[in-house]
Amino acid sequence: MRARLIWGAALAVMAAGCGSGRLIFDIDVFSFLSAAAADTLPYVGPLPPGVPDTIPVQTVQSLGIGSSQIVDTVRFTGAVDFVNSTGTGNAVFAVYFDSVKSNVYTGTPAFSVSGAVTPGTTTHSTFDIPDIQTALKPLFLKTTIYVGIRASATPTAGTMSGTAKLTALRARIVVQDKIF
Amino acid sequence: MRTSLVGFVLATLVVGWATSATAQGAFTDARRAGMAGLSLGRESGLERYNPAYRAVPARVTQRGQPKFTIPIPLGIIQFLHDHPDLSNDPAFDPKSTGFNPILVVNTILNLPVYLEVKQAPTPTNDVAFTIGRDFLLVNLGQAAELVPEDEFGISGSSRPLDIGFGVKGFRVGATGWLHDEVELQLGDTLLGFLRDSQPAKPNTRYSALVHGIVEGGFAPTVSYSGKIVGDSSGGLYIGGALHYYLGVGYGRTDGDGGFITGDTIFGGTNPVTPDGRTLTQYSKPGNTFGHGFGGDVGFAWVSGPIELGVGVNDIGATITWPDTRQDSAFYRNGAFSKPVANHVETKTKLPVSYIANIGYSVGNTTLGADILNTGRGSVVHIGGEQRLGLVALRGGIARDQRKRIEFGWGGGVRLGPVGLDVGFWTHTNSLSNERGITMATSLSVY
Repeated sequence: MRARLIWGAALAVMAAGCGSGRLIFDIDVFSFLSAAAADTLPYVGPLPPGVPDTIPVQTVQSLGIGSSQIVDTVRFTGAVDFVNSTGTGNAVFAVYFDSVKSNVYTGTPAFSVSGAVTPGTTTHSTFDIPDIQTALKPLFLKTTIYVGIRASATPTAGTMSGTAKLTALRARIVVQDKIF
Repeated sequence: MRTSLVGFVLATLVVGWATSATAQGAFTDARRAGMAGLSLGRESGLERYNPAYRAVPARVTQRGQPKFTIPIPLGIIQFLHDHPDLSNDPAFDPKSTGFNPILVVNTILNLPVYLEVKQAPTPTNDVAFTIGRDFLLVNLGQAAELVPEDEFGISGSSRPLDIGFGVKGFRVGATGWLHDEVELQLGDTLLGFLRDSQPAKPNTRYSALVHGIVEGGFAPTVSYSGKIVGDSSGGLYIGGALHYYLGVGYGRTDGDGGFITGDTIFGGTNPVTPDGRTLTQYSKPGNTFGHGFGGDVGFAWVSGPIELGVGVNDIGATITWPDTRQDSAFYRNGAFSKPVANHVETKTKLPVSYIANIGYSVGNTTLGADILNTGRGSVVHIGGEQRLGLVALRGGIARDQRKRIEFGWGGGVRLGPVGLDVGFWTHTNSLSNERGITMATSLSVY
């Protein structure tokens, strides 16, 4: 996943010269993920030792329009299909952000979506996160942001396995105009 | 990087709107402001653009023309009140997070000499970017109206020096001349992307044409101006001047620059590839002088209360530069340039300027109109003044270089040798399509 938004940032700077309203970025994150084949992640529960439940940390070239600016809101909407193979329980798809690569999976997720699953069925879970944690918002103004995805499963009994498949993910970032 | 971006934005905006600023005329006389920029006297460049006016005496029928005026810069007080610590004002400091480029540009384009009684509002809409791996759409909202559809820029042709002596209408002298142009025109794809919110297309070039020239020198001149028909109450005056232009130096660049999208808008390592090319030509001071002939002609007709004139400048003024260097420069995955030719002959052309004016003065009423074109569109002024004892009332209408209609109104009171004048005029020389209103104040000494 490598959403290259440098061009958008340059245009944002240009646009700022023409107005003093807000800058709104509506990003189809799923289009970047699906092109990188990073929209699907298997899950297993309980997690066997040595088996990762995360993707390698991804580097995203973000807006890069200055740390002194103010991110008003960061809204995520989308949907995840939990294609369950075996077992019954609860599957979780979580997304992490951090400015330090090694810290991506050490904190709490920016948001997560879960679904109750049963053997041989697909559970469609939609999500609408109106705003993420305030502490994470400044990340979206930086040039580089590190992203991780974790898929985990909690069986009600025995084991369970399946695949979490992202089917849509859009980010709407609203930046208050203090572009310079 | 940030500073250079700021500089680029500022330069672009200043160039983009400076044309209209010059079209408004940077006059310092509240009487002109009250007539939307019209001058009923001789101070508006009539002699500069119409050689016949060297021979035309001041209008005896026109009353109330001051010897000189002194502007009262109330706008500076307003500006200093709003920005008491200018050197530390973050709005004017590019290194500050509070830096406001729009305020800076507006201040440059509307020098705070006079009081802004109504600020021209700038668009305050949201700007939206819709981004996908193979999709980019920008919606500038109302600000998109400010993206110029046509060629825009700034240009000027001036004569900063005019010395000489004359006998019986004939005059020998030397004139300094200076010509500059900066023009930019967005290509169709870039225009559609920015102004019409068209999605970006893969493998497409987005570019703008750029043209700039500056040249200057001096011109030995012989001229004549005189009355050929008429009596003491009026007559027909003609004037002409022949210049031998000697060019000290010039530089010119013509090119286009922009970027090319890849197969996928955000698919590759580099989403866009910068792409530019330009041809630069110059003859430095110290090279062989450029040379060329050109001329001015004009006439003025005065009959009782009526006066009209037409003047044309720099007719046929083509300058031949015998010692020019030409370089081409390209940018695509790196910058490189190569010399094209050296010591070659090139030619430049000065824009033809013209002025037409008419005045009518009878009793306490003076009416007038003029059209001035200095190579980048015509500016039209129509206005008048009515004197009522000690009081004068003025009004006018103008069309600026943006083809916008502007209005002026005002008045004044004269107390012996001193007069106080107030004039209001609308203007659109800001980063806005809405008009602002400025109040000018000045003292006139009679």
